[in-house]
Amino acid sequence: MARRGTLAAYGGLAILFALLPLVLDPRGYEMRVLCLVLLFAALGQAWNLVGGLANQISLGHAAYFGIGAYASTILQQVAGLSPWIGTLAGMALAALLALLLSVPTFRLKGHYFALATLAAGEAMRVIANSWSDLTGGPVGISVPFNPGSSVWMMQFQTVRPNYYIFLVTLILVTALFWRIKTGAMGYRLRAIKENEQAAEVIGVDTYRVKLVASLLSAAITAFLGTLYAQFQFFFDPDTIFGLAAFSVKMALVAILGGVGTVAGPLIGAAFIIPMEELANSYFGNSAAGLSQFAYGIVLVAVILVNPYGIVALFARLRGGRRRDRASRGGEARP
Amino acid sequence: MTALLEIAGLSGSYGQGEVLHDIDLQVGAREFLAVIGANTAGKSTLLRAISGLLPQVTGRIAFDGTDITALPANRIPALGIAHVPEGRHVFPMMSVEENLRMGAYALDDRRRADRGIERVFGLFPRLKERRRQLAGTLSGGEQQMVAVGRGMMLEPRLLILDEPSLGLAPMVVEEMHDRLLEIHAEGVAILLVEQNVGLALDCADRAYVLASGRIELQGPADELARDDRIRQAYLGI
Repeated sequence: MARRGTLAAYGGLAILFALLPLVLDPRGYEMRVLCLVLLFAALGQAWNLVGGLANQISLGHAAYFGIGAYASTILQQVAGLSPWIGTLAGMALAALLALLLSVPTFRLKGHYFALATLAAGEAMRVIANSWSDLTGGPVGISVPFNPGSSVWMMQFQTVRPNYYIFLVTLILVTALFWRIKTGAMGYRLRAIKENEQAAEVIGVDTYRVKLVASLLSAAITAFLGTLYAQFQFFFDPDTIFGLAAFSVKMALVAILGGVGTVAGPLIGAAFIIPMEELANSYFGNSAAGLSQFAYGIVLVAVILVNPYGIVALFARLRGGRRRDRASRGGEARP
Repeated sequence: MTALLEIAGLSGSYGQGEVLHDIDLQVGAREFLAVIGANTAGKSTLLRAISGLLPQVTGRIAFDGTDITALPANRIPALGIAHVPEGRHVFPMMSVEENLRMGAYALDDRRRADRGIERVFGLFPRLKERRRQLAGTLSGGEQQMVAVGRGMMLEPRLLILDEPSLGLAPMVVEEMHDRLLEIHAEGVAILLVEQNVGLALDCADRAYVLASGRIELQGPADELARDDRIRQAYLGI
């Protein structure tokens, strides 16, 4: 019963977002912000596969994102290849990188894993900056311009089609996340998250399970990188492999919303992206860095109010006092 | 009698510095074996070596005639070896029943898992009362029941227990050992590592004394319990 209600809520939300562009200016600012909300919700969901379900907090997912963006863009430049095809190369490369990274990082936990992945993301940024022959270097790279609209080349007169591509992707990624979370794979990941040693002794192949989740997460993130490139038309290494711009933000979207939950990244993105835009427009002109400062304060405040994210906050407000009392009367840890 | 678990010339380390030296040890089918010794004697390391959790081992470990020395940890449970690690490694955010079901993971058989649950609830009625409760909210003794129960879900032929009485109240310890005897009476071989030497020798058929990674002594448990060296070193009498 509860599940049917939840499903109806998600369906309603999807329909709302499908209708929203009809009342908005297709070239307008609001549409662009909404596109970013959908993009980051999907990124948070992909990140959640490993970060949320297995509690392997990655701060280097921009590596996969950038690889996806560069792969499809470069293949368009040199071979005129459709980004739909080019992204496959990006997804494969990102998965390959995830595979290589798994060897040194999977024995690590907590902060150590986070720092190792952070370094990997930064390494990609440095490589992209210095390998100018391939990437164009620090000046950045542009998606070759095609006049007119073409689904095949993923280029459109307005961002409305981009919006729908983002929306469909988000729905698919969310469905995939839900499927994994509630299936056998989800249980394996949960066992690893809660007690890796116990998972090992009951026979879970912890390395393999983490690897499969990482490969999926990396490939999806790379695909989203291509979508972003086709949406922005221009990017440079410092942005696309950026720590604050992508690596941390996609983790933040999931963590702030509610780590490991289906709704978490959706709520997190709907909260963070508009708030960041607001902070930029209010404080952007007054002093450099002030908008980031205001944005940071709000994030700290949310985490202080509830470290388990906004989803848990809602559950607490709704589930209310009864559960509180029950847990207080309940048994304490020995 | 051929041994169910046969360890010969086993040495092992975590990377640098050998922790186990040339261990020979056998567990017979349906036998209750105790390994006793002081802290840092290498008792847990020995169990980890059997379960494939020790990074470097030389020598030979055979289970039911098959060499399992080089087998990775996740392949061991399916053979029928259940390891209950030290420190009650339960899944804290899963319910008691989910924890138990996870124990049958390697069986991959719904019906056997259902039967296992009933069997574990028969052993530990407390767990049945608390089947929906999150394991992390249980008392220490109950968490240990979950850990042992999770091991039993595998329908093991050999149950390996690492310090199941650590940090538990004396009454709970007694109760736990009664349950171990019950499990043993059902035909499961037990390899018990214990610091509570008196209790361990009380339950076991045979025992090994481990000191600084070597087998110092071995023999029938009741004989060892009378041995002056043991009484002085471990029983404080």
